Amino acid sequence: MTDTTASSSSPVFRFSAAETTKHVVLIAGAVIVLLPFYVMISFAMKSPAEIMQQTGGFFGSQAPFVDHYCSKLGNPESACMVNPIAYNFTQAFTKAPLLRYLLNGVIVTGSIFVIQVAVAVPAAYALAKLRFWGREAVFGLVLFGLLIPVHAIALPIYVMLAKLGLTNSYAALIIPWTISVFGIFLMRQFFMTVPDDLIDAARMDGMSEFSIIWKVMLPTAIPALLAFAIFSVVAHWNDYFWPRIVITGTRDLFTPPLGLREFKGDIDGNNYGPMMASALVIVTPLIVAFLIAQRRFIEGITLSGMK
Amino acid sequence: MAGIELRQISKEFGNTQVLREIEIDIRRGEFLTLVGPSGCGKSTLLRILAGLEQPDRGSVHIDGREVTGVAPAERNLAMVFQSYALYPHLSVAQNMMTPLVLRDLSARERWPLLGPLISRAKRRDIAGQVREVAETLQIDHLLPRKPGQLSGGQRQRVALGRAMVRQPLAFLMDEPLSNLDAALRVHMRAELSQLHRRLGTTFVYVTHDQTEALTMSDRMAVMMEGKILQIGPPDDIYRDPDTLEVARFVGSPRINLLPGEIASGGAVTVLDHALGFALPGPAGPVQIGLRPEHLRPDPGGSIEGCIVHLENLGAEVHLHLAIEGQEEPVIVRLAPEQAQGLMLGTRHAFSVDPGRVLIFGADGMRLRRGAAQPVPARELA
Ligand SMILES: Nc1ncnc2c1ncn2[C@@H]1O[C@H](COP(=O)(O)OP(=O)(O)OP(=O)(O)O)[C@@H](O)[C@H]1O
Ligand SMILES: [Mg+2]
Repeated sequence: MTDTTASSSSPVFRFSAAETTKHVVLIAGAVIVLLPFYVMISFAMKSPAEIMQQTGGFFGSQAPFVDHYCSKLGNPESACMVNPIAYNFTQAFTKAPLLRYLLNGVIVTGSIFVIQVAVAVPAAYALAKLRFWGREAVFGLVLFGLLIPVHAIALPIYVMLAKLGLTNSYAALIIPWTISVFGIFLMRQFFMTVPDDLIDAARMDGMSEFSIIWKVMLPTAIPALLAFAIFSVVAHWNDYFWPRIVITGTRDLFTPPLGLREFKGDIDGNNYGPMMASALVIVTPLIVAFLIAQRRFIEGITLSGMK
Repeated sequence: MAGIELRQISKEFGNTQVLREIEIDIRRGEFLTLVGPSGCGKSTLLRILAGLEQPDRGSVHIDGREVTGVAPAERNLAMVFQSYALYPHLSVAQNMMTPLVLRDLSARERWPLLGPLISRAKRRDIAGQVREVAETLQIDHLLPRKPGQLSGGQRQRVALGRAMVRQPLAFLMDEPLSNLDAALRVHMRAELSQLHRRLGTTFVYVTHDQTEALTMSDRMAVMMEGKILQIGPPDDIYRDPDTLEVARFVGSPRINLLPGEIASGGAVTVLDHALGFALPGPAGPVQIGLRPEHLRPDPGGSIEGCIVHLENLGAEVHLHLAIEGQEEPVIVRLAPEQAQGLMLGTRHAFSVDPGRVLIFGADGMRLRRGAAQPVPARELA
């Protein structure tokens, strides 16, 4: 009879004040972060009355209700009974051209990311692996660029775009973001960990410098690239500030966050249900993408490099 | 016969002079080792030869053609790196194909998707060559794997294979064995030598390990502080070094150095014992170099001291002999039967074979005794 084997085979739950405090703090933090999502999802499923009166719990009663807009048009009430979820989501897609906004979002964030990579990867390669006069100064400028908030230079950029007649175009949404100092910095840090021998081997094999960048450096830097992709796509998909400034006329160029504005301040008050339904539609692609890429994303952030 | 010539190569990094007027003729088909302590510029010299680095002055010639400004790939040399430098995202087969694909296929034939369709025959040919080399190196079962899934020794072979497929004019190797464990290193040493004999291609091999240099090379060049001190067959370098630095660098256990003197008549003494021969030239203090294997137990010998340490390696025994007035112990290498009866802590005397003694002047240059010394077949580059 040995009690060491007995105690190690059965799990022992012991109360620990430190562990409990840790978990209470973490749970509180998680609640604060998740609460807005909870409200968003809940509102997207409830009828306007339930939202106003704060009834129905998380899911709402899901009881059909009368669509006032429909009945005002002279339809009989029985024909205007709608399910709240169906109502919120159809409103989201019909009241505003949400699909068009989503497409705009894909075009803008996709173009921004592709051009950012096309600029940042060669620049990062040069900064990390080539010896040239003024390299340190250029890298200093990159670091300096990291410190400048976009809002500080928004006005001059807007003025320049306006002078070029580019406001209210995709170009206005894309051009200001094509050079990402953060991307250059992140990729440069990653490239520093790639052994010089690998590049020399590629040169011996007969690759040009551009082949080395795209066929050797980029494939080894996939984790870093993915991390950068998430930063870049999230930032520009969710950006409200810049599209709000340069897109003033046509709704055709609205990006998803601008689309959310369509639901604010109607004559009959704020229409939260459809608004939250569109918000849900807008954030879902990002969350799905993150879940798919999660593991490699974390690899990229920790810059595990290679051995 | 034409080979590779390095002429007056100098290189500076910032203010430090890394290479000083290096001059080497590498003969076609020979195994030449560049050996020297860490930081003496061996890798830099090899990289200049490969074209990865440009010399500040001097020129590189391959088969009589000047290639100083020619791109690395066009020199038709292959390099094996210390870290192997395999492409981590490509399989072993793709790694080995890369140099051939880049050399033999046109830009259009390398296009993704379409390229493989229009260059089917060439690609099959390349895959065949890769397979052949993989079979000689016994790595054909590894072809589908990624480098991350290989052991160090296997990576080493793949790196060698990638160099071999292009059938280069010369192989350049920068400490290719230093990441392997001791047993595998000894094994690969023999294997590389055999490979060299089989291929008959020039090998330029960089190492800081003098054992590798002595065991593998046809000729070795000892480098220090950016200069080639001596170049010649390993045996000559070991028996007949030109300078104190070379003598000290080559040989393990290291050479014993004892203070000596040339008297005004020319008679040479070590630790005030006459060595029994004379040297012409100015009188004064000299350093006497004695290889550990050239000392014999002899009660009347001139080197006497206390045995402070004994290493029995099985086939031979190393004795450390403390001598009054000397900081470093003298190391003696004996066969086990000679060492019988030599106990730790006892005093013993050893005699010196006068024909084997190496004498170095105060400036570190070797002082040679005219006829007593066999005339070395020296390569003056
Ligand atoms: N790119 C560089 N910039 C500045 N100094 C350099 C550079 N490359 C090498 N050096 C310097 O040149 C000298 C010789 O370097 P090298 O790599 O040729 O030495 P090595 O003989 O190969 O040494 P090891 O046996 O450690 O590999 C060293 O002092 C090194 O610091
Ligand atoms: Mg080196």
